[in-house]
Amino acid sequence: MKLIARMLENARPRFEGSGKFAAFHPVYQAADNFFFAARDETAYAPFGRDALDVKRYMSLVIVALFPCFAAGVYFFGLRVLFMMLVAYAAGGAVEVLFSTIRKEEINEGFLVTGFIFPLILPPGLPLWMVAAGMIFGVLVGKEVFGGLGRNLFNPALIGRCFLALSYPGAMTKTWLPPAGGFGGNIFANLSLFTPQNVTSATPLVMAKSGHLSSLHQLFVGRVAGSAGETSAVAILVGGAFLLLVGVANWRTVAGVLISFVGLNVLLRSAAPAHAMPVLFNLLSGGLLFGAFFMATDPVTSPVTQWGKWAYGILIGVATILIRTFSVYVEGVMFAILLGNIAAPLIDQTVIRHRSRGYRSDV
Amino acid sequence: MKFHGGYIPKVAGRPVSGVEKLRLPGVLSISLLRHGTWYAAVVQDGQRVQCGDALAEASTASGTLALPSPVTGIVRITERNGKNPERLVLEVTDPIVRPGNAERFEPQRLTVDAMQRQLAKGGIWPFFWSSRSHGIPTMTAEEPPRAIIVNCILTEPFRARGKVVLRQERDRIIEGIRFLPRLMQDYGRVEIILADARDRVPQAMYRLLAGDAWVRFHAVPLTYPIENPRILANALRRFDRSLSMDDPLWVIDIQGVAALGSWLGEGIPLHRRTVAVGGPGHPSPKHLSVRIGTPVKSLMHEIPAPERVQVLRGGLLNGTPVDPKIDTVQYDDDAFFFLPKAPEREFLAFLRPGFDRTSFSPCFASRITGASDTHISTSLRGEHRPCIACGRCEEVCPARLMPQILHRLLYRGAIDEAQAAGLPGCVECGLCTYVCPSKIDLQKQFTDAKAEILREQSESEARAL
Repeated sequence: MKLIARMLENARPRFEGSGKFAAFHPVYQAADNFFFAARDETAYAPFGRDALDVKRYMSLVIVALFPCFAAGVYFFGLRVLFMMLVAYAAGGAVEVLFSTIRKEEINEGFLVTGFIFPLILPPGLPLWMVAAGMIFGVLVGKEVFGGLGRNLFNPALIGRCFLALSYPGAMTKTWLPPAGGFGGNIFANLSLFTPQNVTSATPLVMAKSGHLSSLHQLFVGRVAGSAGETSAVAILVGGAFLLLVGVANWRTVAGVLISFVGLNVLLRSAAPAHAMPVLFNLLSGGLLFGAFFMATDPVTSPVTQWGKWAYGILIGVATILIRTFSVYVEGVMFAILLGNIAAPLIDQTVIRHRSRGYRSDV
Repeated sequence: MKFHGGYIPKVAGRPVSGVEKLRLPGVLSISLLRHGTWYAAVVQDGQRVQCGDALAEASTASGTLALPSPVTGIVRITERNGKNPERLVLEVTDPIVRPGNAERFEPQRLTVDAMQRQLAKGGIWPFFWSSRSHGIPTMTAEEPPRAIIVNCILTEPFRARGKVVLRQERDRIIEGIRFLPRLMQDYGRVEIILADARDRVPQAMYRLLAGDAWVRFHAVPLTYPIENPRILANALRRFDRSLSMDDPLWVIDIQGVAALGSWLGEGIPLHRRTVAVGGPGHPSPKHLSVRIGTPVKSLMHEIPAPERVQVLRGGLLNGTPVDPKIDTVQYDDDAFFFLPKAPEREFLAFLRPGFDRTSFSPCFASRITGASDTHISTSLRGEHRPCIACGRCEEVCPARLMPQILHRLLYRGAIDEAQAAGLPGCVECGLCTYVCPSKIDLQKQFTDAKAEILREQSESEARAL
């Protein structure tokens, strides 16, 4: 610890003022911020502050994502780890580039984006596509809007959307069959490009042709699907943690799940030929992952508490409608992006409604 | 009564109940600034004053207010600018406070004008808050209030607890409440706010007050900032539908009522305050009965390294820094918070379980153990970041505002829109700023914007004339 402190202190002059690497000051600052607690003191009342900061906030999200990551590695191999490293390298490069140009601090947000991105991709995707998607997502989804806190869309979803539209083949046909037993698939599928044994049969695809995967397999996650999205149990463990520590807003999660299940029950009774059974729909695809980890991204969801309900309901409804009535088998990504678009509008409505009450108050 | 939002940070250093008396120092010092108004000295260097004599006066919209001497002694004006000094020094000659030649009154035989004059003379008037002026009530021009709220609860960490003061000053408080109906409209009601109406002290109060004042007790939940006069007035209006939005309401806190009771009823001038000293920087947090003018330094003799502590006048959330070398206990003080200065930067702090720190969000291990925050300091505890719209500020806001929205509006300079979105309703409790994980100085932003709105209003009024 003292060693790192001394190294940082020694390197400081080179990154400040007229130092050799002054242009890379954000990088130095990011390292400094990462290892040591904040340097700043309060300038205005209240002079003592709450112990939670954005760093802790984002690291809790990563802790919550860890079960999904572990499940991904178990079912689909260390390839998932490589995808993550590639995502971090690509996303980090864009982030450093932009904060250097903008002369702003590097924000912690990209740590979550880099962690979450490989988990929502097919595990057999070539690594260069992971990098391309991540760069597009961070660049167009976040940096052009001005960085963390100002982005309209979830950067990871923008990246995935880009890949889905640019490389529809790869994005629908590079699923990997899940492993089972002791040790799983950890050392399989290590190819840099698309591994040999890819499949195009995820539970939702198979369901379109009438074959429903068993609920037990879906719950455990032993099905083909996006790297971190298959295991319902891992998502529920991580999601419960996220709700428990108060990082994810329960209103959004409740909104998504209640509206999804509610409408699914209705559709199932009205048009059993189109709609899948409720439990199957709930456990398959990216719904749970989306509800707990993607929709709850605070920046891209409405900022008002009532707005979060409306946003959740919109996503749940859109997902089940896309799944049931469109050519797409999966609707979560489009539903959340739709929610992102609607978020400012939802906020406006809530604000206008709430503003009426203020005039009469003292 | 119902309240919205609110939160009390769980911080180490809560003062124990029971009040210790602090020894009277030989020299007291009085600041002539009270409630943002400068008072002009009416005494000269070397003049002998009795306890309760006026030291300084100010002509304000509220009438002529005086600062009473808290002690019998000799005035020393040490400042070079002797004509308009900022503070007076008093050499104590007689430590005992006697009723002296001050008048004593009976509530029934006191006219409103005489009572107002007497309160202004005794330095008691500024303890009132009026919903009309959002500050000290103006003395003659203002309509008398429909109700006076006597607030016995101070929840901010760590202000002198109402229960402690109530036990200590019961008789003076009852005496003070007897006088309040004189200031109100006919059938005006005294609304007493406390935590537990079944406690024996309020029970006794109720018996003793029967027949003298129309009293109602309200038991309220203990959440900061319930003590805020605007929050209390709004809550009372919501509770009692017979009160209209225009009816004036006044608020006074329990120490103010006690001072009022002993001044009017016994002729004992305002001379001491019950002060809570607490916070993680104080080794033995407690309540002290302190003579006004006592140096802050003498509250600190138990602190091993005073230079490592930031002293705040007031509580953690609204306290302002004081310099213990100069500052003294003033007429309105009821708390000093001892906040340690920022320690050395911790290594990988965000990965620690956090048994020693607390947060509004249950994201530290202290939530499981129930520990309080011993780690809090003047450190910002995080880096300034853009708003991530987590919504914590909206959850804690007691005024039902959406601070994150106001922040966005003010960030792009849309001050009119912020006004429409409720900015003037901000009661400046500081909770949004306290809980913000992005460490945005919301309260500073809001106070500045409100001042800007007021300035624009007065300018446009001036132009209209």
